[in-house]
Amino acid sequence: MAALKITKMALNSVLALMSERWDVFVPSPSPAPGGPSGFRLFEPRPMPAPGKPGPSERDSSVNRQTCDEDTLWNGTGQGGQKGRDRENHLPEERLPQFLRRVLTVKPLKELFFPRSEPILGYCVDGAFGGNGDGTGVSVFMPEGVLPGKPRVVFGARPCDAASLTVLDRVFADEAYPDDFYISRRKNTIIVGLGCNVPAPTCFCPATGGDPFGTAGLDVLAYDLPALDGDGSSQGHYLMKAVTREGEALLGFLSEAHLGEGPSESDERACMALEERARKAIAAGLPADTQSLGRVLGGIFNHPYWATLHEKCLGCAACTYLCPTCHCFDISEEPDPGASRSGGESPKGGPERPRLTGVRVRNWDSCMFPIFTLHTSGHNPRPTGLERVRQRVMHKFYYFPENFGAVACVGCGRCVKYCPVNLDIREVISHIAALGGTGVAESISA
Amino acid sequence: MRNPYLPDIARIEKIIQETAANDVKTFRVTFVDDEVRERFSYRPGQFSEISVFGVGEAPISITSSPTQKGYLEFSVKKMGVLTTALHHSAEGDLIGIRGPYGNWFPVESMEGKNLVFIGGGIGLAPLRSLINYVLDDENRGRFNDVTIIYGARSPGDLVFKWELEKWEKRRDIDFYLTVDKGDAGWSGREGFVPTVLMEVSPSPENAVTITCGPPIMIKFVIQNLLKLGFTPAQIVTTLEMRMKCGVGKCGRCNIGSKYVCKDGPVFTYEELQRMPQEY
Ligand SMILES: Cc1cc2nc3c(=O)[nH]c(=O)nc-3n(C[C@H](O)[C@H](O)[C@H](O)COP(=O)(O)OP(=O)(O)OC[C@H]3O[C@@H](n4cnc5c(N)ncnc54)[C@H](O)[C@@H]3O)c2cc1C
Ligand code: SF4
Ligand code: SF4
Ligand code: FES
Repeated sequence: MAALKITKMALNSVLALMSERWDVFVPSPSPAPGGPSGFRLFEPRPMPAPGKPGPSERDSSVNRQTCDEDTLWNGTGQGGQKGRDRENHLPEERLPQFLRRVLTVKPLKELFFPRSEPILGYCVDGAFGGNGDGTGVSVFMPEGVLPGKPRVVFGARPCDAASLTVLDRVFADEAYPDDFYISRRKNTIIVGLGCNVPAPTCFCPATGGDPFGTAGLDVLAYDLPALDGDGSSQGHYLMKAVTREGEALLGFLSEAHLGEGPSESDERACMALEERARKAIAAGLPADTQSLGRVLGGIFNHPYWATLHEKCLGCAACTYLCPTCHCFDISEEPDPGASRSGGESPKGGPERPRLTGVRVRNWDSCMFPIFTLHTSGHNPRPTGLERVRQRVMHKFYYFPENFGAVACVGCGRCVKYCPVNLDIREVISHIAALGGTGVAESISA
Repeated sequence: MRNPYLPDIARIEKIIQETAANDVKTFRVTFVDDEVRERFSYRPGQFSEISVFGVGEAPISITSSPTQKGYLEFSVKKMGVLTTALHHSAEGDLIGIRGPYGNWFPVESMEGKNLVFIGGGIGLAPLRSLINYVLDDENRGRFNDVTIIYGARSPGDLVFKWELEKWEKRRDIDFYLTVDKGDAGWSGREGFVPTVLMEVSPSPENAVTITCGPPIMIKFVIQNLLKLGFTPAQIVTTLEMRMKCGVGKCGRCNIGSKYVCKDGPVFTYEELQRMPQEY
């Protein structure tokens, strides 16, 4: 099935049906004005027991004010069972409204490269170095890390989907394939949602993207507004398959008679949306980033970096929220009760408990001084100057040199959430201008 | 499931105290699993990530040579959390090892050449792998003259003394041992490694030089090698950067677009000149 049109009113039924076969993730709604915070598992609402009032019959407006974002949606947050109850207060017609907000705060990468995940578990018997006879230490995969059920993401933005094609280059390389990431990529179908009205911070076209780009997507959905005189409807989603997996997904939905094929006027409406979005985003774009490397190669020692970094606080918001940033730390989390560090060899000492624990990888950031700090105290990137330069160089020079793609998809998150308004679009344009003035050549010479 | 972070288990067979201050120890280890022992093949210059479970990991050069079969050796200086825990372990203890990682010394292109090794302190560890590879009976004929200049701050800081004696006795090596400052029991040479290098004054003709040591030593050694007429391409060294993954993913060990864990740790000075001065 190449294309399928569903009404927005049917969205919940569509997601519920998909949930039977896939774990379905949607942008999680947030009552805060900032928009959805990240992607969450969609749990279909249970059917109301006969005789009891259905969830939607309760007064949702009261709860909307008191719910925090974690508990509002399907209770996967701290809210526990209470959250599960509250989820039912979310009127289903709100989801399309959430989807209309352009970007989640946290990027899509979290579903493939989680903020924190165990990469191995260990168990050490007897003395902490094993039993002394070559036994007593085992290393294993921690349970429940890898996804079991295949997944569908509904409502990813094209920039976030494109970011996965950047991350693929790092985690799915030939030399050291990382199946934590790869297995999640392989079992996830991504339904994107084109951006009818790009946010003021969006600049995907300057990175080779497009508000209706399909890179990294299996299906691209168009948000078709309600037509005049179509009073009861909120409009439609027109879903177009990009890959075979996407086609299969649409086939599955159409078999359940949840939609219909698009008409010619729908196609025209899609084209109109694309044109309007492209026109809107074209105003205020920074310079194109794809040839920035040529300039950056010559300005490593340019005085610009000294002024640029001055206002940066080193908070790392820009890198944590960036969909293409992949740096991580590996740290040890021994279970409480047994810690070996600093102790003398336990040989001959009192019997100590068996040591178990996990090794965890966590998002990390090149904006922190400790990121590159040697034990000797030497730090190759001792100040903000080197660190801000590293971030810019990595995205627009080093990464393209290594992988043939810029490591920025123009999502604008770092622009929006930087507390001191260090705007990467200005950085891009400034650097491009340095190239134009021939500074690059003179500095490198 | 391909998990690039999963170490294999190895047993510490032997621990050698190297320095007087006991801040460097050499660990001889063997993999517990025979299959891993067979599979783990490495070249001089590569490193491993060593795990002490419950503590963490650190990148350590493999100081043994691939010609030494059946075991690996690592020489570790007590610096921080992991290296201290390793120093506290005993023979028979089990540790984790993953690797080998990184590139290696360009052995093939060194064939038929005069080799000049210049090491300082524990910087001899990665060089030692190549030295013993070259000195192996099967390989010695493939290389020309071998010169080794090795020094440390004091006699107590010299590492691998048990092996230096053997090298000193060999007639197919020019071996120069030096300390910055001797003590009562020291009758050997005194002087900084870069100074001794000028005294020895090896010819750049058909030569390759391989150097590793404290950053300040490397700096002056390179200056002096250039004075002696070595070209940047003839100077090979190894670098250290803070590392975590060892496989080019965690993003912290880069110098420009080169990742020291994957594209290094071995670089020629010619390559370093093309990289940003950020290490
Ligand atoms: C390629 C390579 C080969 C090395 N070979 C040897 C060797 O043969 N013998 C030896 O004694 N030392 C070697 N080192 C240095 C050794 O890795 C560090 O001394 C060690 O990581 C310090 O860890 P720690 O846990 O004791 O210190 P902590 O400061 O407690 O370590 C915290 C973390 O910092 C990182 N780190 C800190 N300093 C360094 C550093 N200089 N290099 C890399 N990572 C660092 C590690 O990830 C470590 O887990 C090598 C380093 C590299 C990069
Ligand atoms: S650098 Fe900024 S704009 Fe570019 S992808 Fe990362 S967060 Fe988005
Ligand atoms: S978000 Fe802004 S202040 Fe924070 S580290 Fe990034 S550039 Fe610096
Ligand atoms: S150590 Fe992780 S990228 Fe080099």
